Amino acid sequence: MSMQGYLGIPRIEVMIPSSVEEALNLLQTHPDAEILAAGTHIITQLTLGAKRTRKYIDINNLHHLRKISHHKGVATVGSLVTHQELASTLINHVPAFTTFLQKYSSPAVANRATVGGSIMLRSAGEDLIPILLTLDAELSFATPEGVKNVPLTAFLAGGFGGRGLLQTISFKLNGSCFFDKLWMGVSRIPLISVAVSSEGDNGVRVAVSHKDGSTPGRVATVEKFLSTHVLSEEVVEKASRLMMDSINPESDVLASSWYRRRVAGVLLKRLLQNLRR
Amino acid sequence: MKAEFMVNDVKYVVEVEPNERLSDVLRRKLGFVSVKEGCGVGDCGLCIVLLDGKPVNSCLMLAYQASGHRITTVEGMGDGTRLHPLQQAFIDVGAVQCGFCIPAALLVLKHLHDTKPDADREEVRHALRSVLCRCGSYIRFEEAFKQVSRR
Amino acid sequence: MSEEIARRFREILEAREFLIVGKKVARVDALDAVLGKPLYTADLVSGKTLYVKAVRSKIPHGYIRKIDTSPAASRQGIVKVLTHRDIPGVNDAGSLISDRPLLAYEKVRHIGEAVALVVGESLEAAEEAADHVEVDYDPLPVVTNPRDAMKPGAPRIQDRDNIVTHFKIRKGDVEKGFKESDVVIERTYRTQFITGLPLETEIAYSFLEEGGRITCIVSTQNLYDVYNKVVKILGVPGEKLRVIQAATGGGFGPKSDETPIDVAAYACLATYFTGKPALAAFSRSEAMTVQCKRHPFEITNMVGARNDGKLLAWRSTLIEDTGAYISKGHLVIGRATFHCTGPYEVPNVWADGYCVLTNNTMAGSTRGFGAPQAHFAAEMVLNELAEELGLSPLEIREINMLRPGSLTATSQKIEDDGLLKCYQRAVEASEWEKRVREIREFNRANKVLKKGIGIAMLYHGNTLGPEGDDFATVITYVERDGKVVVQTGLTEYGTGALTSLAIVTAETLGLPLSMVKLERPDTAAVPNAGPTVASRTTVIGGQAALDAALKIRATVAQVAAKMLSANPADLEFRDGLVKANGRTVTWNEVVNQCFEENISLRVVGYYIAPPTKWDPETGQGAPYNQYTYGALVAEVTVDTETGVVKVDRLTAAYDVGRAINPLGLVAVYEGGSIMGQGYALMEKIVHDDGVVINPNLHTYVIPTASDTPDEIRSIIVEVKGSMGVFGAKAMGEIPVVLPAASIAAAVANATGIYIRELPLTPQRVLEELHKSRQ
Repeated sequence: MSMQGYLGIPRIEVMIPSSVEEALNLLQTHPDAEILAAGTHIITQLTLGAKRTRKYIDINNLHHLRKISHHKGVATVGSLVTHQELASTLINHVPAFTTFLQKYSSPAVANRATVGGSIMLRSAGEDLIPILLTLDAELSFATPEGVKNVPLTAFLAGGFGGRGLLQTISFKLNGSCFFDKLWMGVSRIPLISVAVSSEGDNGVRVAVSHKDGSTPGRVATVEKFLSTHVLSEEVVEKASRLMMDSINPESDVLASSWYRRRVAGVLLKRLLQNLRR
Repeated sequence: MKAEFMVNDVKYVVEVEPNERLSDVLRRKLGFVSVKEGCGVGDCGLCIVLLDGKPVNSCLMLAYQASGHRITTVEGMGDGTRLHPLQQAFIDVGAVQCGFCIPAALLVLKHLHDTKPDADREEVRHALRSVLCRCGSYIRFEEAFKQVSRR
Repeated sequence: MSEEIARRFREILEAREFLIVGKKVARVDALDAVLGKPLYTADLVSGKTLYVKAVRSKIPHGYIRKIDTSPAASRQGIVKVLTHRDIPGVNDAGSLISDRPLLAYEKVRHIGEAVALVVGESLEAAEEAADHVEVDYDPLPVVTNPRDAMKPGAPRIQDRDNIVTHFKIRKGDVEKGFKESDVVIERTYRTQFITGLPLETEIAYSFLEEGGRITCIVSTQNLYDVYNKVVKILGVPGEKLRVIQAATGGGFGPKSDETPIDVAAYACLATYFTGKPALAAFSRSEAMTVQCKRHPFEITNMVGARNDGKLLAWRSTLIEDTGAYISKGHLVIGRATFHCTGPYEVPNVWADGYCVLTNNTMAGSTRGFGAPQAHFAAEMVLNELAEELGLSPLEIREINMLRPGSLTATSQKIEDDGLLKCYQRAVEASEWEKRVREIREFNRANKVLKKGIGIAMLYHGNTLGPEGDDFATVITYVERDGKVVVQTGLTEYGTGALTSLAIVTAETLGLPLSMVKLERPDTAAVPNAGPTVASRTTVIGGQAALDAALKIRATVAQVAAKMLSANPADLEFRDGLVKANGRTVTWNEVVNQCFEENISLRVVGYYIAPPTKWDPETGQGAPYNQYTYGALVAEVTVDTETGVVKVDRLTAAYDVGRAINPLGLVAVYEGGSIMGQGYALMEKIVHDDGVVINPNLHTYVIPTASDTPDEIRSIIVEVKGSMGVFGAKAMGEIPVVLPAASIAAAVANATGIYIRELPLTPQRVLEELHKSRQ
């Protein structure tokens, strides 16, 4: 922090490609460079001295990455679309986005932070991830070898095994997708956040901010249980308890693993009760 | 690098380093000292300016990235001779304590007033959540917004 | 002659209706603030400056074996690297007690202690070089629990016993009192480290003036504390330093304490050695690590009462963790112990307060100064006792509260009924009985959400009392254009208290507030006015401002009397006019005449509070000249499945003695309530074996606008005090004292569980609920 408005972050080199090809080329020729979108996370890390990367490829001139479109129940969103744009554009299609905005810890950040940035962070602090997980999101990367499509679940589990540029995120528009979270102050790291979406006869998708440690993920055991049961009051209770046993969240200074497990179950219960109505 | 943007309706062309944040350039090079810094990592919101009318944390943005955009700081809130109604309301309801968060609080409420002048309490609080005020003037800010809404 | 007139005018002022005092007026600095114009220290830096960065210890306790500065000093852009050896004067930055070096030598005692300073041409260069100062340590055992530190044979933090102070209250015969009691309970309560967290971190900017004087612009509450210490650190004569307070972005105690001295000394040392302008500022994490925090307390209260609810005996043991250096810990324990029974009359009291050193980071002045901790424990135990006795929270308070004629824990006789009035107004305005019924209904109908209501009360010994010299000075002068300038070493950092001084001045001279100007506190222009702490600016500073304004009025009156052929004491000062016998001259005409006649309109106003007396062996006596009283009703909703506590409404009634600026009071009421709510529900600085692990605003969370209660009802009670200006009582700190106690009481009312440790985070509440269900 610089206080007086002098250079607060270390010297960096920035390259600004004007095409995807150029960006990919830079990624190849500069293995030590990272992609910079809005920078809301990267600048923070540079300020705190937590980031060693000094070379960035700023993709903000790739204007086609700012588009949002939807067709036959599937939305395709460019990686540079901001959280605010995404949620406000699709709010009528996905009710989870209403809560997503309402519970945004520091709303001004939503005007800058990008969808692509959230995905690449893969962290519990990114509320979009649980929501997109329940919407079967798929990521489309441009790579030197061509376009690679990777399900978000697979990406969270291990990336896609190469260097590339996240271009778009596609996901289902589901009118039965709900989201809830508990958080404190302006912390981006929630105490817990949970998303569910109903697929009708095909069951329910369930995702949580802290599936393992601080990584978000879908909760297979709960989904499986729900796919074989009709959503009765009793089933909701059971799913809630199953949730508590199915995740392994980390303890941090904001909340313990025990607390996170319990309230994950509680939030799931409330979301499922919503679904029943 | 060159950055070209409007601040309070005046065009600026500034030579900037890639690592200069928008808050650095606004404060140091252009003298908009109403833009404060309280944490440097996007938590406190004291560096908020309006970018094309929307609140953003200027400490989380590189200055060159603002090229082609319109920036508003509190210096540009009134019309030059008269205060913006929110500024007057802040005075009237006694919203000012230490003053350090006042520019940011005014700007987020200006955006809300511009986009949703009849915003309800929850919406006002939601908008204000971007700005921390340790003096705890939140209810005063809310009162000020209400007062302007009523007009 | 003139003194007599001044006395006569004081009588006139107090007898008639006030013109500005008590009216809704805007703060004198509000217009600038909404325009973004106030210049905080960082805003004043112009041109090239050097940057000073501290090298801080990475361990909480250890001997310093070696400091090697050469790898840092040889780096590009580094002008100088300083260690304790380079300090030209005295290596002492302790604000009151000289136990804390500016730069550590021999030993570091807490995480983040400054070991060296790096002066660089850019912040980047200084920050990077700071990582290259090599310090070798021999780690020592780390003591973080004050109970461990108190044990015989515990590792010593400083070259002295770890117990700094043993503060006592001995009133009556406590054993006898317990014997006569029908019910006796004993409970232990714990509070946490929090940080005052002014949003502007510590910052100082220094440069050399003509004549070799160093000028230092600093963000501080206490101009002269900084000045007096930095003069000694630099080892220069007093006239070689000038300290000016810039606009200050929040104080809350820490800015009156140790760290403003640190940054000022850092910057001034750099200027001293290089002759160049220098800037020293804390990063947020630095501030949150080393800034003086609110002391954690462990308080055990044993209380006894008759079946009818009358308190007979009270024993308190208070253990205060002051961290590695004393700072104000020895005074905070005093205030906490004086107030350990809360505002209740107890015939037999025995209290032991211990201020203890540990290897945690330093605690010191924080808004409330020991009162929030003491009142939390007192109010909680009273509620637990009431439940044992089958009494309501209101009944037990009505039976025991301090009323006129009551004797406090120190056997000081209470003269006024401010507490009773606050209690009545708070209960009435909160619609207590009605709310109790509604809550019962709600809780019957709801399984998961439970509502509760709680009350807490306070008394707060005014201003410094035993904590220091309670004086103030104000210089007031009139300019040729008639404007009245008030200048003082007391500071504005958000409280609005200096507006009160302007109001008192305008009131006295019958001028509109716009005719009074405040100048920046500057050691070159004003004498020491004492510290701007303990909510004393309006109360004590206001008296000094009144003294000055009366002197001006008396002088002006003598000139005006001649112009109007009237008796000076009969003149009326109003609306910028001076009137007598139906004739009028304007303020400006009289001022002009004074200038023509070469009559000085520059005076020094002074006030010192009557000395307070108490016996350190028994704590008995009258430690404070007057008390502020208050009652706070909190209503909450507890989500019993998540542990989340939502504060629905706060009803606050405080006896302010005299409301000088009611608009300012409302902001202070609300703001203090919200800050207190953070203390109650969210905030905690976490030390892990002495290491602060959450020095940032995303893991140390403070209330946002969304955490604000649905409603805060602010009730101003005015029972004139004996000391403050026009009867004013201390207010700045007060609203932060009770939220924890009343919110915890409301949570107990909602859930049936007394949570005896702060903060009541969702996790803690859920854990307690879980335990109680098992």
